[in-house]
Amino acid sequence: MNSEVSKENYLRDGFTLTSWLTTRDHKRIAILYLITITAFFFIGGAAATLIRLELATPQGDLVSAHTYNQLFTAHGVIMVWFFLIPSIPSGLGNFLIPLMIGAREVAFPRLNLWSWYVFLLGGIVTLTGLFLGGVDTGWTFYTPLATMFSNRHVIIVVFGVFIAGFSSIMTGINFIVTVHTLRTPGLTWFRLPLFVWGIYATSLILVLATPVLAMTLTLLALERIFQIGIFDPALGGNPLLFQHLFWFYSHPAVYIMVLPAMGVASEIIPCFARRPVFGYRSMAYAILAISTIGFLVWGHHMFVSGQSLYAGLVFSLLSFLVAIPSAIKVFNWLATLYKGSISFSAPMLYAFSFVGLFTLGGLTGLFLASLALDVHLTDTYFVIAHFHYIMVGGSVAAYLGGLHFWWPKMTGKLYSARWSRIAALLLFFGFNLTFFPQYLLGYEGMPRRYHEYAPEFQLLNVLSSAGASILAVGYLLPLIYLGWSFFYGKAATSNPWQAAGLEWQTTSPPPTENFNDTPVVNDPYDYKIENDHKTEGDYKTEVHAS
Amino acid sequence: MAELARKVKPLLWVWIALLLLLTTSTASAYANLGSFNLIISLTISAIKTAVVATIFMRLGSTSNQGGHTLFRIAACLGLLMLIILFALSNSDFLTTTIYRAPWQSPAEVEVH
Amino acid sequence: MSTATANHFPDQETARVAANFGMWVFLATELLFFAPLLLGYTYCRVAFPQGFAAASRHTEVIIGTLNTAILLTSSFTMAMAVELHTTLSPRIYRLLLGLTALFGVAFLVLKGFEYHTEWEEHLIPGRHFQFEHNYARTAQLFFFLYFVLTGIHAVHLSIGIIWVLLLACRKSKLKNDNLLSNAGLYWHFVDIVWIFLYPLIYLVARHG
Repeated sequence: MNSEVSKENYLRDGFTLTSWLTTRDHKRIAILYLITITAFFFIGGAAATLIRLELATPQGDLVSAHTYNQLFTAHGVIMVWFFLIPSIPSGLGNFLIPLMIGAREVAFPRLNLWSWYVFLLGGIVTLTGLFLGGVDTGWTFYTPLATMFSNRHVIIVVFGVFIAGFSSIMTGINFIVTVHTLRTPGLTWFRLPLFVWGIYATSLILVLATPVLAMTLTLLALERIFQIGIFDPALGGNPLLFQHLFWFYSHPAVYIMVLPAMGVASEIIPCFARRPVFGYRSMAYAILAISTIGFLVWGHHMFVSGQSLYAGLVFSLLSFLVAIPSAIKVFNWLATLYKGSISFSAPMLYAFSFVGLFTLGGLTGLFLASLALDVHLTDTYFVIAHFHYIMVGGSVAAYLGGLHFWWPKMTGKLYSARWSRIAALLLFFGFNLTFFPQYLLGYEGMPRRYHEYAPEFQLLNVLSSAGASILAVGYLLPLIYLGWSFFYGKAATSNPWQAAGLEWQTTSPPPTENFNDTPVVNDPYDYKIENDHKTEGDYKTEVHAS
Repeated sequence: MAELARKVKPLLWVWIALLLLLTTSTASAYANLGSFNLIISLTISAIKTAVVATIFMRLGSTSNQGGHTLFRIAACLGLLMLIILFALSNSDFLTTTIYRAPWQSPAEVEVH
Repeated sequence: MSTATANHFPDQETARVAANFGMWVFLATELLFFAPLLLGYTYCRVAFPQGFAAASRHTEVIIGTLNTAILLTSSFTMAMAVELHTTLSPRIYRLLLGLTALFGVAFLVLKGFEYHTEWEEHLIPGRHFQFEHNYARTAQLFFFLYFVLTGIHAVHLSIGIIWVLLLACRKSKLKNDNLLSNAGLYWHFVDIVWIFLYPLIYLVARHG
């Protein structure tokens, strides 16, 4: 094949496995990540399936308590570190960031490829540990259970997470340097799409928080091996030391999961409302504020752990503060819709899901941030519902929305409009059926991490499990119709959604070097209804035809 | 040759300063200065760090001299995170009373 | 960490800034990597000041001080190599790098002797740990932190030594090289970590 021709489409620039496994193309690395995290998603989902099956009845009849502990640990570990954290940054971000800033590549392409291999290695090590017999400590690995009493494979699993952490750090360094040094001339910071702002702020968290986790897990492993350490009260150590160090990372980690999602929403909503995003600067500042304040609130996971009341007050107050920039963003997304021309495409349905479900999740976060309420709600299903509303209702919805929005760009193919909307609606409905009852369960006192429960909780649990089965269908559908579109879908033009943003100025899929002609720096939210026109490449025409 | 000397002199002075600071910190440790021992030794470490960072690592240099504003920002951000970790964690540790279990004999576990 | 100008950078200067900036961001992550150990140390020292003082008196202050001086000198030779490599002859440049690596190795050798001494004095935390009864538990905490801190520092130093040696052995022509300046930054960082570890380990209570 003529190398000139093959370079016109990054997917055709080398068909061998080697060309994929030794690539320095950020777009191919993004695809590698997307495939890997999808696999992890379904493994973590399998654990969730067993959990919901068990919880359909009050008795612990499907699995033993011990197995159940391993299931929710596996679910948490895999979903947090091997799906959510890499999903939007390493999956979509790797593909889009250079395109959005008009660059040919990321700053360190080989580091990028290495980050995927390190991620893969971490995943294999973790799965080995989970396969060998798992861990029963919960994804939070609290001491002294994890260090002194658990007789499962803590060290292997923790080691796997440790390795994956380096992948996060490498990705973060790459994005930070890329955004600072490789913006095309004329592209100042306040002309960047909010998706770039979101990934940038996420990268700050990735590099500043992850190393603390790495050392904390190392100390955990050392204490487990040598039975000596600073977390053991018998020696004069303090289990709270572990918790402070663990949550110093793990709270910012949830912002790693949500900030990119917010970035995605900020790209989708203006496009399908045909309006520029409302309050661009305040959106950018809000992203920075969330990432900053997010570093200051970790103690709200420890209100009843033995933390001092004084520290609890400080963390509670700071946790309330972080709601403010989040709320500003929600109001701005809504304001963007005003006087817009709204289309209910699949990406838009996901974006709406994101905004609504994130809002509910965020509000319930305020409940949990209140010290007195938290005493009642902590370690109940209320907490589980809260974070699933943010991480699944929020982040996963945004991830799927982004996947659907940029799918034509990444693959050059269009997918079925009908099936994508059905899937999005199924997910919204299934999600609420699964997790809204859990708010009620938690409020009524059902504790988390128990494989059996009092019989009066059964109805809500059955509803929740039923919802989970709908969710499962909703997650499987995209695999089918997106996969089908990759092989048999109609070809997409460079800008099927008539979106603004530099990535839409190049072909679908882009050439290896990203742009054939130097991209013209524009306003990434240049949407005016009066300027909309029906052309051959209009998405409405294309998508309805399928 | 003169250019060489111009480049070497600041580095040489830094090295001498570092060794002098080391001597000071070691010597002062042998004097009983109570809580000042810790303050002095950490201050000297901070000065050594500042000197190594500013001159050896070019943290104080402009872009033309091999430095950049971004480097200063990265260093400050790392330091800030460290401070946040310490400050907020200690807001807990310094305001908590730990009650030792009654069966722990005082000789084994230090009581303060 | 790319050499020279990868073809996606608009110019050499941007490539240099990107390379060094990437290294600085990495060093920030390294600082935070050591942070939990320092927090643990702070917690234990505030909780058990006398135990820590007693334990610190059993550290080898002569080796520790000598090692500090060695590392500070190695920073000097490294800084010279980085600052002067375009001005100096390749031989002197390689000599400076070699000296830097040599100092690093000397540090590790002395550290080895130190660990051996501690092993002989039963100061390795675990089953064979022996210490005066009053402070046995807290001294174990001290030495746990000591071995982890200095051990992880030694791992970082070893990586630095290998990096410096690889640079010294490079056959290619010297050019304005980002790998070299990044190696320098890394080396100085490892030095700075030790600058703080030294008083925390060896100088807790040398008087009395």
